[in-house]
Amino acid sequence: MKAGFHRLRLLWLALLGLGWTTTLSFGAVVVQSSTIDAVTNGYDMAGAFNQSYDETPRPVWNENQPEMADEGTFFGSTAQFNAAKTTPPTVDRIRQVAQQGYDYAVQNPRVPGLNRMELGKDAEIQATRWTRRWAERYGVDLGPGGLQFQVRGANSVPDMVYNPATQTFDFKLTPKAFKPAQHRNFQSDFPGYGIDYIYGP
Amino acid sequence: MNVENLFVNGGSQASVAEIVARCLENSTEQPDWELPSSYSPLLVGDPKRKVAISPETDGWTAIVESKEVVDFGMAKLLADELGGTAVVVQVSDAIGAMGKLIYRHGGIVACAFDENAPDPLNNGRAVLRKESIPFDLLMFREAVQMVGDGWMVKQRP
Repeated sequence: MKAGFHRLRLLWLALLGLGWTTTLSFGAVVVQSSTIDAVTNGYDMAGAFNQSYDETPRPVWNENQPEMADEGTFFGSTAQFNAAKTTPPTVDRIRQVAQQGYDYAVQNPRVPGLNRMELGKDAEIQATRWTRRWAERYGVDLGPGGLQFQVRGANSVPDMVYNPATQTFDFKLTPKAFKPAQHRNFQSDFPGYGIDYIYGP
Repeated sequence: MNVENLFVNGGSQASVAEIVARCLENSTEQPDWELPSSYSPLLVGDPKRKVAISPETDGWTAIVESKEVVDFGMAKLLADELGGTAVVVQVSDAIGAMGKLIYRHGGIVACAFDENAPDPLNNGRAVLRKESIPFDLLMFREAVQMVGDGWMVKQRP
């Protein structure tokens, strides 16, 4: 009974892991197009929105993550758990902050009445700003030796490049915006770099 | 990259700047062009609106809004008053789309918006090459960095 429960729990965790991935993986990404439609059609309902496009964005990342209730199951000691909890690779933290920021921004555009093209841009701008501020706050280097934004290659401009981990990120409103030609351009402009696409909710 | 740029020919940087200044002071009437427009939500009420204007190069001038969207009314006015051509290019990697419009002698010569563009950035660049426009697609912050190279920035008064 106990072993069965454990297997079920591991299966559930594995499924959650797939749901969280942002790496290009056609099988793992689920598009909730109804959500996008609702967002793109529902701006006028957000009557309270009267913010300037340049207004300082509100922080959305969660700085008070809840404790894991059962860390002892996965970690041999409290010290091990704390180390794993507080020091995930910076590139993973960047990915997580960017994803959270983009999800929020897509659902909360600063200006009502944006078309899909502008919604994608507005969300990219907001998520980029939040990620930059998060990086500044948590001591992540910015610039050519660290995290850069809108980096020009010969034939592509990825939204974010994290050089220490040789990783690029690009925001896409939906997986439909993935373009094989652009992907190849990222690969040739940034050889050896990984490419992660951060999709909207 | 998600930008909209405007390119015009037929006038000097000074004459382009004069028309742009008028458009910043008074709202323009928007023509019914079949491209997605963000003029109303992003530009019309923006008190901080700025426009970067390139030096004239091979007859062409690039115009980049601070919101990186195009005021179609301004594009039409520039082409009409300068007696030249206005070329609008829209690139949206976020949705995988590319739009283009060419307006000349009071009429639309070409207009297309493709939400399944195979490579939006380079499809947009191809439009510029075809029209012999000697500029790349630019972000506003890139344009501002070239003020020392002859670019100018006009701001809403």
